[in-house]
Amino acid sequence: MARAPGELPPAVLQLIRRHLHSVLDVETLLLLRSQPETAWSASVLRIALYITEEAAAEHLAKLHAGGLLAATHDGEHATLYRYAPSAATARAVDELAVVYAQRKVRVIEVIYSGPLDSVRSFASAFRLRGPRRK
Amino acid sequence: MSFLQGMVGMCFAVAGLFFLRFWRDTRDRLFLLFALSFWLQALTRAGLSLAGQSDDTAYWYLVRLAAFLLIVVAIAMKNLGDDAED
Amino acid sequence: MISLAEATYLLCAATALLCVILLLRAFARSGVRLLLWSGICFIALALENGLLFLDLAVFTDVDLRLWRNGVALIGLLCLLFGLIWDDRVQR
Repeated sequence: MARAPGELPPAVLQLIRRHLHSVLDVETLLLLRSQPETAWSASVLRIALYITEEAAAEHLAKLHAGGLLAATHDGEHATLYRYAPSAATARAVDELAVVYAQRKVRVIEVIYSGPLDSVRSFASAFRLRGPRRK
Repeated sequence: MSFLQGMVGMCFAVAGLFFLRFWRDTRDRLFLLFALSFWLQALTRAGLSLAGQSDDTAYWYLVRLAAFLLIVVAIAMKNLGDDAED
Repeated sequence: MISLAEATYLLCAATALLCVILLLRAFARSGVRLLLWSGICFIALALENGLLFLDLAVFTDVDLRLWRNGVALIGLLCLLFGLIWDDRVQR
């Protein structure tokens, strides 16, 4: 497919636009993808990614809300997440994994590039109670 | 005067296109509703210009009402449990 | 008594004002300029509908169409400016 050298595959771009708004989103998703039989909780993710448990819980919940992870409860208030995307999304994530390994900087650039930030700010402005914390 | 109104209609239509693109990019239904709202506004201005009528005749104000109701619906939907998107 | 059309314009103005409040509040909080331009646009739309109401209900002898359309146009141009030109990442 003829494409400018800087361009990522369209499926990856769409995946990023819809679900992956920070590097941690990508790291979380790819980590869970690497061990699909494991059920992850926020406390386990915290250790794996060197982040706070709050942040871990937020990222997991967000990916779950986006339909990329399946959630179960283990009965002790902890939610466990497993990598469980649809078939089409799984293909996109596979592409993402390849691209992220080879061209991490470009992926990060795309994640943090312009209009989407302001666009999402526009939408979240209409929350009467104020924006969700990222 | 028609020209001015036509320009206003055109601006609404273009802004609506942007909202449509934002909907494509974010899948947030708010933008779809805003796009429709702005296009209804464009339609109102176009209709009024073409028919040469003033604003409180021939029910064009109902189209405008629909446009603003769409915005109200969008805001309501944003606040009533749309937690998947930001 | 006001007609249905006039009530509609008041309602539209009120909705636009709600948008103004939400957008400018978010702009004050985050500094994202698109919110400022959108806020200005909705101020203009609120004014336009307000003027429309006044045009029909109060100042029936004066034609405010120039003002109405002019205000709306300025507001929309601000919005389009924000959407097209003022597009930089603000981090």
